[in-house]
Amino acid sequence: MKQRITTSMLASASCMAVAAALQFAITAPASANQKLVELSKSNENWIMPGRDYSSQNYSPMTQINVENVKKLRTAWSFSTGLLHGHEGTPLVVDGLMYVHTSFPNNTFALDLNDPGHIIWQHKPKQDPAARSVACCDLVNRGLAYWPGDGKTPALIIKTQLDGHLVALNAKTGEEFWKVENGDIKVGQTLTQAPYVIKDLALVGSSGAELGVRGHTTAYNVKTGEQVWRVYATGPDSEVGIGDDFNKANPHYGQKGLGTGTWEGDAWKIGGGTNWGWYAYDPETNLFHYGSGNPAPWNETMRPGDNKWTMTIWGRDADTGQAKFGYQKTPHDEWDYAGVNVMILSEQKDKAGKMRKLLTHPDRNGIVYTLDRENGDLVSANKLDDTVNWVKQVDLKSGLPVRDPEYSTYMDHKGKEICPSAMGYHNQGHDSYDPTKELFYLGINHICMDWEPFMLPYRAGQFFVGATLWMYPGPKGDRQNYLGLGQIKAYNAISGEYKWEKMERFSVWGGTLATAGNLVFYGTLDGFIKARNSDTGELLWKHKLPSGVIGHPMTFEHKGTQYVAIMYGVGGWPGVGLVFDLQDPTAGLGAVGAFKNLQNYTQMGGGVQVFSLDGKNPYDDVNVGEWTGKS
Amino acid sequence: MTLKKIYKKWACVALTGASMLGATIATANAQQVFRNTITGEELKILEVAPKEGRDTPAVKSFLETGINPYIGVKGCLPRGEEAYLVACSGCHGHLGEGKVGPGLNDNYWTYPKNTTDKGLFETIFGGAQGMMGPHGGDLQLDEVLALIAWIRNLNIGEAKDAEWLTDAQKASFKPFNAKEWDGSGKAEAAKEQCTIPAN
Ligand code: HEC
Repeated sequence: MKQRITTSMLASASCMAVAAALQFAITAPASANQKLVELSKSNENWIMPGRDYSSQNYSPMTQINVENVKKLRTAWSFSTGLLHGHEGTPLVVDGLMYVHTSFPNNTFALDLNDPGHIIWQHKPKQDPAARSVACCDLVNRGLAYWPGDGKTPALIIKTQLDGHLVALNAKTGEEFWKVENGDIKVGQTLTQAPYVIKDLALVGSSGAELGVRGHTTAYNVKTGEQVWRVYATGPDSEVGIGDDFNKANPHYGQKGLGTGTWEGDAWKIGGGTNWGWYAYDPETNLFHYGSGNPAPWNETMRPGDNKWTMTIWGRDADTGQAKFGYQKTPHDEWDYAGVNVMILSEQKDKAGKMRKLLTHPDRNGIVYTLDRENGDLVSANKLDDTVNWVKQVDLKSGLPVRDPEYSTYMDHKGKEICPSAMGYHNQGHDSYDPTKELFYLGINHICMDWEPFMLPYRAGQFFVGATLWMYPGPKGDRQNYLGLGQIKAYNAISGEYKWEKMERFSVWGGTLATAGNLVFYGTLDGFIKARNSDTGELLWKHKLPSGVIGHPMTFEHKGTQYVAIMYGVGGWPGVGLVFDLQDPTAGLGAVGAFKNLQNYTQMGGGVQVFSLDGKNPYDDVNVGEWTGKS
Repeated sequence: MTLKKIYKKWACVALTGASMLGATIATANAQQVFRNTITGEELKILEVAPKEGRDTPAVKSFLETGINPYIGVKGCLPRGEEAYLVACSGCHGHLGEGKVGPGLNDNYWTYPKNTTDKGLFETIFGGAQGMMGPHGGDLQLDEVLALIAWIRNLNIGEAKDAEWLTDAQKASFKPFNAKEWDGSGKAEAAKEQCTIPAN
């Protein structure tokens, strides 16, 4: 299939544009980007998965706080009607909540004044064959919002598993444009939340487990036309590497490495997809994200550093060109896909110098902090003292100092490697409280045995080449497969953890911090919890219908602060939940670590919204009543 | 489904370029109804399956009877193995031992109907939950029959619970032995034809 922008869509789009132009004429802003920045400052909005461009997931609201959080009760809830993993968090803009779902990636707009009424719903018809090329369950991580510019209406941008990027009219849900970003026949899928910068809709790619060569693409948000595309591997011109790349840190590597660190043409099927979270700094005009694992997982099949997989990027938003790239795990041997969240902060370094920073809890068990203007490494610390493949990261060279005992290679079964391929941190969207200078990190505590095998590349087929056995880390209970997670408060300058707590299962979905001295997060077994963000003390929890793999958000509506979270267990930790417990093979491989999850939760997706004493629009019993024919 | 709809569907099949032969097969085997393993909806086999590999004697016979004539036919195993390695092994493991998908080489089935040829065909063709997507569009029908024969051949369970085997087949059943297969079994099988046995 080619890019599909049908004329009928454009025609209806322009009709819509006229209508919208009338609406927006009153408040026409200088630029869409400024408008987005303005919107993100309001407590009544949550316009991107990380709240604003810094991706801090931090709300200044205090109505719900350590004193009264015990009184949080359900305000209302919404079932998406779907099974499988619901990652990410809903958006709230202009009195509407936008809810995304697992495959088939339905989208719902709910009215916050009467959330029992679905304003519109978008239910795409996708080729179900997309399911067989999904890496790990049928998740989706959320939506992007573009505020409109007076000519083009406000848009909700979404991804479909079948590789399409779609723009919907935010008010009506009608498809505005739709483009094919990748082809499922070669294993290219999409699970990411798209990202809007200025008038561009950015999107990464999925499918490194099928040998997909990763890319990041910007589309004109008004038309769906491609503006630029950069790859993780290959010639510099395609990776977006120019003369000043890594100028401040030439030892990170500069030219010719996207092909030179691979054998032959292996970079063409070398992975490096990115499906995690983006962050953006309007002042530097750089956006940041991590490229993922090289393909296949079997390292023997791809000698070399495999650049630029596993890389933290700083790229120019207008052109995609890279200013810096720092490869965290050269020549990965463990599937430590480097796609995790990038959280931006401004902090004084150890020398007392104010710096623009980027903090990234990586799959490989290291939490990195970089100067986001030039890529300088500021700190790199273990997410837990049980990380063992690496002794430390040499801040001068940027290289991990490996412990060869935990290497993986052909004809060898690596044992007790920590973290497991799931990482001590996976896709969870974490938070940062700037007043405390603390990052709240949801952690996996899982280790593994790993045995590689050789396999041929076949387009559209799994290209992994390793068998894995996963189990709780040393601090967990290996007999009962429990103690698989942690939650921690981390200071990126001192490198210290202010507090940390164990959890029964991974804290897979991430955290939300608020000025109410609180940190909220969901657990795989289906609780939403609130802790004192200073001390880690557990203050409140509530059992949800299903396990959580997304992150909470908070918004104000009509003077009431609400906390919302998506539930719907699945994702990589939940792939085993489709198995039936009697099956003797249900404990194998990736499924093994979570074999006990079935005893705590089952699938089923939705959103649950909380407020103090459960205050909600239906406290006025007349709201939402049918009052007869009008 | 109403008669009118069915009529429409066949007409549509014929019009969209399936051979007239395709349409005749369809009407001739109206007695076998294939259903999606999860939803129970009727599978539109001739609308979905690739054109090639549809009108082999084995496919015709299978669509009429629901019995896979390739079971136990040695000459079909290399073809079945190839299809399996390409389309299934990534999730179900090299030997069907199970990974993100459940094991296929034991006698435990999430969906009991997978003990029959017809049931297993329906699961492969129409898919099941989650990542078990439908494979009806990407595998030729004749290939699916060879694939089913290979999955049965991978079995390491007890013959007595292998409901898909006839009594005669049970008596001569040997659990799959990868070493033997890679050593000599495969080369021997490759010399034989993949056809319906004469008797
Ligand atoms: C992308 C991963 C994936 C691929 C590729 C895949 N499967 Fe599956 N398969 C699964 C999952 C997950 C399940 C469990 C689904 C369920 O229980 O509904 C499953 C279930 C099954 C079942 C049901 C097993 C039972 O116990 O009843 C059969 C049979 C099966 N698959 C056969 C195949 C065949 C044959 C192929 C190749 C044509 C294949 N699968 C390809 C993931 C996959």
